[in-house]
Amino acid sequence: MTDLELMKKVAEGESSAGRQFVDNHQVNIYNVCYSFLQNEQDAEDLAQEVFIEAIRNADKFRGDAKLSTWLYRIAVNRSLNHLRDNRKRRFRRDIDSLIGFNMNSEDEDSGESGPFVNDDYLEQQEQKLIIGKAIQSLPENQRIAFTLNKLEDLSYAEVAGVMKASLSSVESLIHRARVGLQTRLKKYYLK
Amino acid sequence: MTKLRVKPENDTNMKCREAELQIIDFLAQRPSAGMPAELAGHLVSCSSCSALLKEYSAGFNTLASGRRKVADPTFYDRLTINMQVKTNSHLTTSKPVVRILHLRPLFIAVAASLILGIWLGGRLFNVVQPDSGDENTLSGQQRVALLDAYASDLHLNDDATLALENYLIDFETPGTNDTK
Repeated sequence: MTDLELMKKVAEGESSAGRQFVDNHQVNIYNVCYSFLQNEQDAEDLAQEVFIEAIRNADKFRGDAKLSTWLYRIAVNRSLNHLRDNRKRRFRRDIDSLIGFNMNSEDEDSGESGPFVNDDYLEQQEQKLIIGKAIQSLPENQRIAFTLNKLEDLSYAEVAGVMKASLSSVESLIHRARVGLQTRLKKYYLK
Repeated sequence: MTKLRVKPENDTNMKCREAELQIIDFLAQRPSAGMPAELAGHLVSCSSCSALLKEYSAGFNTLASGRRKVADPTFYDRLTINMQVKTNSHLTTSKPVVRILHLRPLFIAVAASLILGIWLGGRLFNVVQPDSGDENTLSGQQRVALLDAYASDLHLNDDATLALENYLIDFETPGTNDTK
């Protein structure tokens, strides 16, 4: 069955087609969301939202691009929106706490770091945070290109398809992302 | 004659810079693919690059630990439940109200400035257009007397005006009402 036929059946509400569609792509879509958000629960929720959007818009898939490219595009857009919303939420919370409206900031801030957490675990989490922050601090286009090519193993052509950009600009974005990441990481590790 | 001398450490720096980029590529693409021979060769002779690899790999490995390799069998079932919940909540919740509440400081500011604008506008309008309410209360006789007084102020009934009026009527062109 081709991608187009599969999506037609999904649009018609055929349950088995929906299951096949989701099972074929769920690992890749979850991993893309995870690469951007770096949080398992958020990635899981977002992957669900990506599939909900894809199923609701199944009739709009015309088969011009590969189904995976179409899905990656939704996942990348959703992830970036999620990150932007988070940033806005954090900004609003900061403003609230500055004015003195924040009543439950302690609840939100209390993370996993209780008194009985292992030191190695904390160090690993810190390392993860450093790498994650370095990737997130890259300009948006560089981050998308780097994430899709290096973390998700997509070819340059596939990245170009998802980003609707030319091959040469994708190459340039990935190169600049690598150099930017190297500078950022070295700045931290050589402190 | 001056001899041109190339610093040997420049060469090493270049190699290290390239090696650092390759370390990032290698760790980001997950080490299962195997390390490129060129990078492996460099790491044997360069202690700073191998230390960097060690430092970076902890972070990249922890980052990769949240990734999935196999499909979650319950994912689709949860998805269908989620879709149902979303459809129901979409029908019951009125989104505009939620959005307004969400943007409450902005909403309050806009509403306050609107009310203030209307109030200020009203005050200004009153200043520009003073009270003229008693015009409507004039009786018919008072109105006629006022109009007569106005006409006499303009001298509509004196001899000169009447003579001019007659002259204009006498020499009027019938078609256009213009004076000849």
